[in-house]
Amino acid sequence: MTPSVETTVVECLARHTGSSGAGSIGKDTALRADLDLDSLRFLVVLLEICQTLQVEVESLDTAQLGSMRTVGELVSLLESGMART
Amino acid sequence: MIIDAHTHIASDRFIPRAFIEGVVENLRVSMSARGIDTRPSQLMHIYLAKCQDHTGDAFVADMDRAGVDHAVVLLPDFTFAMPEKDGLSISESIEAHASIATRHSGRLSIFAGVDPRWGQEGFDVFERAVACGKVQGLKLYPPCGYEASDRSLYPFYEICDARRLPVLIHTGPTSPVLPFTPAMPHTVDRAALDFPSVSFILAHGGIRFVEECAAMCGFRPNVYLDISGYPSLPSAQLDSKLRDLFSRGITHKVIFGTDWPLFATGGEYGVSVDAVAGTNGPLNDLDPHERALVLGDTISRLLPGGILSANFAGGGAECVEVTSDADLEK
Repeated sequence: MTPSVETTVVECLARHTGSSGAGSIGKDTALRADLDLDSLRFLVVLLEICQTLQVEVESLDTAQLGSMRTVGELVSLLESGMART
Repeated sequence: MIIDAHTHIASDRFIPRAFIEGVVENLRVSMSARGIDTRPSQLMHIYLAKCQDHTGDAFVADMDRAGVDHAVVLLPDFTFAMPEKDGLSISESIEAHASIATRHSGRLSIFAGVDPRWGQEGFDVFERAVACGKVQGLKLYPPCGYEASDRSLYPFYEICDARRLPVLIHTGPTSPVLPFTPAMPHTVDRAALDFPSVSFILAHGGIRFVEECAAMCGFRPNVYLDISGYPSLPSAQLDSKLRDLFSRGITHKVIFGTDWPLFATGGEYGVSVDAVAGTNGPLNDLDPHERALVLGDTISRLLPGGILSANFAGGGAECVEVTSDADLEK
C-alpha cells in the first residue's frame, strides 16, 4: 500500500530533524518554531518528499511557501500538487 | 517599537534573473550533495514564487501580523553590473519603490543606491530622489564591482552628509555570479574616516565576518552593523551568535533586520521576527534600554528625522510620481 502524504512528510521530517516521528510530529507541529527547520533544510525536505511521492515541483502552488507554518499546511500543499501532477 | 531595518520588496522586477540563477545554482549543488537531483528550473519555480508581491501589500500584512511597526526597504542598483533587456532602469525602480512607500504611508522607508559608474546621470537620479523625499538612505552593493571607499562614491556621501542620510552597505558573500572581495567589511574604513558625520551600516555584520564588523563598530563611532540574514541560521546557532555579539560592548551599534524575503521559503515572516524579538529569543539577556536600541531605537535615530518623516512630500514639479498604483499591480 502506498504510504499517505502525511506519513511520508512526518517520516522525512523526523529523519531530518531528529524528532521521533509520528509520536512527536503532527499536523499542528510548527516547522520552524517546533522543528527548528531553517530555510535550506526546509527545501531539502520539500524536494525529497516530492521525489518520494513523485510530485512535480512545478505543480506546487509555491506562492504558499512564504507563509507556510505547520506540517499540516505542507501536507495540503503536497496533496494539491499531487492532484495536479 | 520594532523596526526591521533590512528588507526588500519581494518582486522579481527588482532582482536580475542572473542574480537569482546564481543563488539557485548554489542551492542545486547543495541539494545534489544530499542526493537530491533537481533541475535549476524546479528551484527557480520555488524561488520566483516568493517574488510576486509587487505592491508590498503582502509584506505589510506580514508586518502587521508580526508586530513590526516599520521597515527599511532596500533597493540595490544591479542595472550597471547585470543589465537586463526590458528590465527597469534604476530611476524607474526608485519611482516604483517610492510609490510602494506612499501606498503604505508611514510604514516603509526606502534606501536606494545608484551604481557610481553611471556617472553624473546616476548621481543626478539619486540627488533628485533625495530632494523629492523618495529615499531616506543610500544602499550600496559593492559585489556589483566597486568598493565602499571608492572616490566615485564620495559625491553620494556628501549628499548623505548634508541631508543626514544613513548609508547601508552589503558586506560578505552573495550570489555566486558576483565577486565577493569588494564587499569585505574593512573596505568601508576610509569612507567612514573621511565622512565622520555619516552613519555607515554594515549589512549582515552580526552574522558574517563578525570579528571584523564588530571591531569597526567598536572603534569607528559612525559605523553600525545589522543582523540581517539570521533566518538562515538554525536557532541554536542564532542564539549563540547573537549572545556572543551582545557580549562585545557594541550593543548600541547593533540593528535588527531580517533580509526578508530572502529566506521566505520555510517559515512565515512573523516566525523569523519572533526568533529574535520573542520572549525566548537571544535579546532576553539585554536590559530594556539595550533591547529597545536593537529592535528599533538606534535605526530610528539614524533615519532622517526619525521614522515619522518617512515618505514626506518634498520638492517641486520634478517630484511628481510616475508609478501609479495600477502600474504596480500589473
